[in-house]
Amino acid sequence: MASLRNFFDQFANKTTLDGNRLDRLIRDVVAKFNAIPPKHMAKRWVESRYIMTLHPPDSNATSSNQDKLPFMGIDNWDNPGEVEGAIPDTTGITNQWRIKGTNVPAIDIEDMAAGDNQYAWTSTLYLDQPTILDGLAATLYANDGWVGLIEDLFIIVQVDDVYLREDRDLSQVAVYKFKATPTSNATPDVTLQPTDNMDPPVDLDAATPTLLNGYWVDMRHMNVPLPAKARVRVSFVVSRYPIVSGKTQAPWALNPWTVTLSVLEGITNG
Amino acid sequence: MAKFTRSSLSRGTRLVRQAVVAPLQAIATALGSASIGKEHLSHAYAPFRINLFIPTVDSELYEAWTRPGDTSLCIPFVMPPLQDAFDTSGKVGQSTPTPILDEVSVSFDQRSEPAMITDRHRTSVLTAGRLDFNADSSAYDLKLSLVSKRQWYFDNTQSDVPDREVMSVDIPGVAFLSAIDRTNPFVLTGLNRPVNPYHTYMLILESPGLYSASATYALPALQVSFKFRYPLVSADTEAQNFPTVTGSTKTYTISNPASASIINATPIHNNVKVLDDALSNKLQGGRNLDGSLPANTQLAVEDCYTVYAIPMWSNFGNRRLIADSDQLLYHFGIPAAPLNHNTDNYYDRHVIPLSRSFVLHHAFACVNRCGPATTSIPPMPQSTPPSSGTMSHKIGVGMLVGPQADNFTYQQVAYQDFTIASKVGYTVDRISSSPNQVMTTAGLSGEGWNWEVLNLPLVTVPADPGTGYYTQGKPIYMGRGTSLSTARSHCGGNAPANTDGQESHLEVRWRIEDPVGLTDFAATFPGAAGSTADTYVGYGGHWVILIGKTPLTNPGHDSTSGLLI
Repeated sequence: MASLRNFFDQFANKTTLDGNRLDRLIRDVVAKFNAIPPKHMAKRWVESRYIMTLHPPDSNATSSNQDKLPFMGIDNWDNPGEVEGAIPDTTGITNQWRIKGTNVPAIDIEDMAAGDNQYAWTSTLYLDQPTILDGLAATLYANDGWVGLIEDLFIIVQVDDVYLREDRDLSQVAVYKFKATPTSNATPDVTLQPTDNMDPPVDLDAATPTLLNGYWVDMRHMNVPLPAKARVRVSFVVSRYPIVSGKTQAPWALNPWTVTLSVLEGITNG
Repeated sequence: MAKFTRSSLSRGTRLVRQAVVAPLQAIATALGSASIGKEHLSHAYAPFRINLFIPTVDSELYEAWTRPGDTSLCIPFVMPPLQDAFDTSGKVGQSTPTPILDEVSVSFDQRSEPAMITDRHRTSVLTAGRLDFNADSSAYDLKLSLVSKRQWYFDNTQSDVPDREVMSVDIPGVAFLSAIDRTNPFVLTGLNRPVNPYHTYMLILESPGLYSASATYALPALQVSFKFRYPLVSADTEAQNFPTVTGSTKTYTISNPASASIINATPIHNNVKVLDDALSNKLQGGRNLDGSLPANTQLAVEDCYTVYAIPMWSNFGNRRLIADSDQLLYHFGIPAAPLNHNTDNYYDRHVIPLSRSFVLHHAFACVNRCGPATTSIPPMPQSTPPSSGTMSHKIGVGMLVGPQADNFTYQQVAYQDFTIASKVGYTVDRISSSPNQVMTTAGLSGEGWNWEVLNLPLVTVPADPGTGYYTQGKPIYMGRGTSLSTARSHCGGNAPANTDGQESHLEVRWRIEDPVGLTDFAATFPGAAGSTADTYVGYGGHWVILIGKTPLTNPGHDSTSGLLI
């Protein structure tokens, strides 16, 4: 007879079959099925979603209304454009390169020509229990006469070191998508445009009347485990090229964003 | 179903089947009829989160702040019971599932430095986003509160101001300024606070130190997360667009010894082995990624309460959208020239992927009317609610197949068009952050509350309505399908839905329009706005809240054959 794998008492022919052992087995079986632990459930995770949207402000440099927040310069360094006032002698800049792996041609971050830079929008999450990073999707619309799209988009997910949490040199990179050129349409067949049968209707550009157009990245089922008490940083890095390059200027200002981050969290007791 | 019971074996008496076989038979019957409920599970709760993202909070929000309770960032949300547990009287009964607040976290971007971040009001827009290492740490003193009130829908005589505090914490700015270890994210765990599902909840963030005459600061990429736990729930059996494929169960056979037969170890062992194998093979429940069901199901509770909090109009324009024709009102993008404010409408839309099935039970729109008076550049008036009788908010939720797909179509799942006159027929709540708040003044509309929570009814077949605050349809299933699960029931007036069981995304749209004109009475752009201060989108934007169920799941790909993962 095959052994019982989840209960202590085993019964076999030619072995003692006394009331105490029998009673204990039945007790254990009933107790187990009155408090079935998660390990005996085939599915024991549930999806949670962080949905972040962002309308970029106007990029008109003469406008006094707007700014580029939450995008900020990618390089923390002693530069009048990045630091207000003096830097403390005791600590200085602690993380000059808080996000790495974002180098692109034509932009030398340490020797920037006028008008070029890279900017990062970073959202930080805290996950107390072990969690699984399941999905990350970002859509950037190009509707209604947009004149350009973000180029060389980086999407980076970092997890802080458990001991030296403020030292970004020690951060683990969990997800890294780089130099994406978002020129793809959302639908493979651009001629396949339905009647807009959802209310309220969308105003379509007369020249390019497409219902869905723009940049889409949709990473699903990444299955990246994140430890307990993880500080997770999700960063989007965009590049502003020199004027002479002819590439996109003010990239933070040209596309509304929809970001959906999905994590799987375990079921819990009451 | 109740917990399993047994009788202890009495010594010195005949061994009866009730003592040995009956408990095992009861368990086998429950397994075979998919009746293992939450009372049988050691972990019978699932977490869900209300995640609130605000692109930037800056000093102009606190310029008018003079005392606690004044202008503050405030965002409401609701967590009503699912349709099958909803009580239109708003009474919490013994069987009403109740969310329990476990954890609160708040974070913002400091560029990974022990410094504050300057905002645009310091000198010019070019100063926004700089590191300031020399600021007084009190500039980043935060007070985070979660308050609640009974909803207007259940009692329209009460005040707009919340009268209960669920939690509150003062966070000193110095916590964010250590070079060695900053408390960012700031986290409170182990709260264990039950909350009333028929209340409206409001996040209030007081940060008056962001503004001073000499220095102004911002909280970029502010993220606040409320983590709740909720009892596991059973899957819907009646829903629109529901996969018609049915599940199956497995028979677990417990042998019954004959009366007066000799007690033998083998049948006892074999009976227990049947249940032991069920545990080792793991109990099944919850739909697979493609909407199919496991080969056989044992769990009666296989779904989880879930909330999608979708920020709309966030960071749009000057972080508020008002009727002043001199303000920059840009339509969803950066065209070459400002559009004609009176002939062009303003809309926002966001598409969210569906990686797992989602059954929508309730949809709400939270309309923001907040905005303090500021002397910033440009100066902004204190917000007033729109007063035009022809102005409307049109808000819709749809599911679609299209991105990365061969087909492309939409199916409406919720929609409503609100005017000043009609919105009372869909109002769930009216809420203000405090009695002395200076975010919203009544203006010509006579409505002085900060936020409105309005119900977006689900599409329905009139002969088969669902349950909710107002008349609406039954829950609506949405999710990807294969040949095993694309066959669906009706959705609204369509049978099947336009998406034909292939939903991959859901889309939320919000349109603001006034056929008479959105702007004020300026000569160039005459419109129907009561004043320059009429606010179509308050500071921080509007929100759409979707409440529903999502199944228990596993990471990675699961198969459609019911194989174990």
